[in-house]
Amino acid sequence: MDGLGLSLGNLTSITSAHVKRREGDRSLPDIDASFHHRFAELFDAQFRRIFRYLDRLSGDGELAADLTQEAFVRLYRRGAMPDTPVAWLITVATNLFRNEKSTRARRRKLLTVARGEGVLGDPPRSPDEDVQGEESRRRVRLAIDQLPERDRSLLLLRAEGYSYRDLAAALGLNEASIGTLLARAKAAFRSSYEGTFDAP
Amino acid sequence: MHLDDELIQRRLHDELSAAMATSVGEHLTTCADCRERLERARREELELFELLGRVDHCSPTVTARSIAQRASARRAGWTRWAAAIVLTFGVGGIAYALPGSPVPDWTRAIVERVVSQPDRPTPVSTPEIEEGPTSGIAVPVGRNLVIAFSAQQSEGSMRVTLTDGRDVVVSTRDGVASYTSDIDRLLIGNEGARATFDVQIPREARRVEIRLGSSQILLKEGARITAPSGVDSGGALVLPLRTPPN
Repeated sequence: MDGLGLSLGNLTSITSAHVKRREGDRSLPDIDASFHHRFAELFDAQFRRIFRYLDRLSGDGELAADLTQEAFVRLYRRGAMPDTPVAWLITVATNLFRNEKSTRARRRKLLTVARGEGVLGDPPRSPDEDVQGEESRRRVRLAIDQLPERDRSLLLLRAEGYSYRDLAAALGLNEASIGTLLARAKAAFRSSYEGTFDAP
Repeated sequence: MHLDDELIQRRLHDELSAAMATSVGEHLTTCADCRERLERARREELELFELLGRVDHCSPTVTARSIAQRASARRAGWTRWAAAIVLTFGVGGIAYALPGSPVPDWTRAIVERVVSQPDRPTPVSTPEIEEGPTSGIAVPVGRNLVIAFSAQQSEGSMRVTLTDGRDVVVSTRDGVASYTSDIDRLLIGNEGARATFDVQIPREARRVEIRLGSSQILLKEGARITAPSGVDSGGALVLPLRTPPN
């Protein structure tokens, strides 16, 4: 459905094929096979979540796809797993987004083409539904953008089901207060979203 | 004593320690208010996550293989460059050291030619036009950019030049200004009676408009520039930072 063409069986063959290819290629660091397996598992478990996080954070699907891949490329080139791989990936992805935002903010698309459900095979929507859907997306986007950076990341990462420990490690927060911060972030989002109904 | 936000959220997300889970569970059996708050938090979270899903885009088709290949290709590209540089210097060194090689003579001739060049004239110092720190901003130009000066300045002016760069650069050395950039807008908060702004616009910029308050004072559309003032001896457009009286 999401086009993420990957399965564990596939990954095993990828790993062994890649190790064989590397026998004549000493340009990469000496990466052992267990790293490949762990990388493949992590990729399988995290790629979609990190992509969705960056997609919602940026409002730009193409940018999110590029940055997610870049985060995994960096992990692969590292050649060894960090102590907390999930938090490491989130941190790298968030930093990549921050850097990209500061250098390419003005080049980003003015309007985001939101995902059309029609592409996924749902029945075509009526013009009224399209208008309402677009309006709803615009309001959600606005509400996300209005959140402070920390609240935005916290909320979007929690929506991907990341644990409080991962959230704290990735965002540099005290784990003991994640629940309180989440409650505030949700309230801020709700307030922003409901405020958009009054906006022109 | 009721559950606070931290405990409600932790209960909702199953993030309580075993001891706390027991304690919170016991409290919930006796406290209708907290049960209601927990249910409301659960409901609101579901609604919120459903809303977030509305702005999602399709996931790209990416595999672990493509990531591995991309990582390998990048490293291989870098090492190829490094190898090429090392090889070049290695071959050069061998050619220099070989008996009867003309390379040492060539090298000597080049060095002598460089050394025997007449002394370069001492650069003539040019008077500084302005002293003091420069304040300014550089922003990449998009499809459309509006540069808006917030205030008129009786002795203010701007000097607009076209460049081959990719950024619009606005700076001043004798004025006070603040700069705020947005996706398609650069707001310059200019203050005081006097300031000279240098505005550099990339030739490749499709559309750049300079506004003073509500008045348009320059418009660049492609290669065409519409502005009321003339060009100075340096090839720059000089525009006053005040609109003519009606």
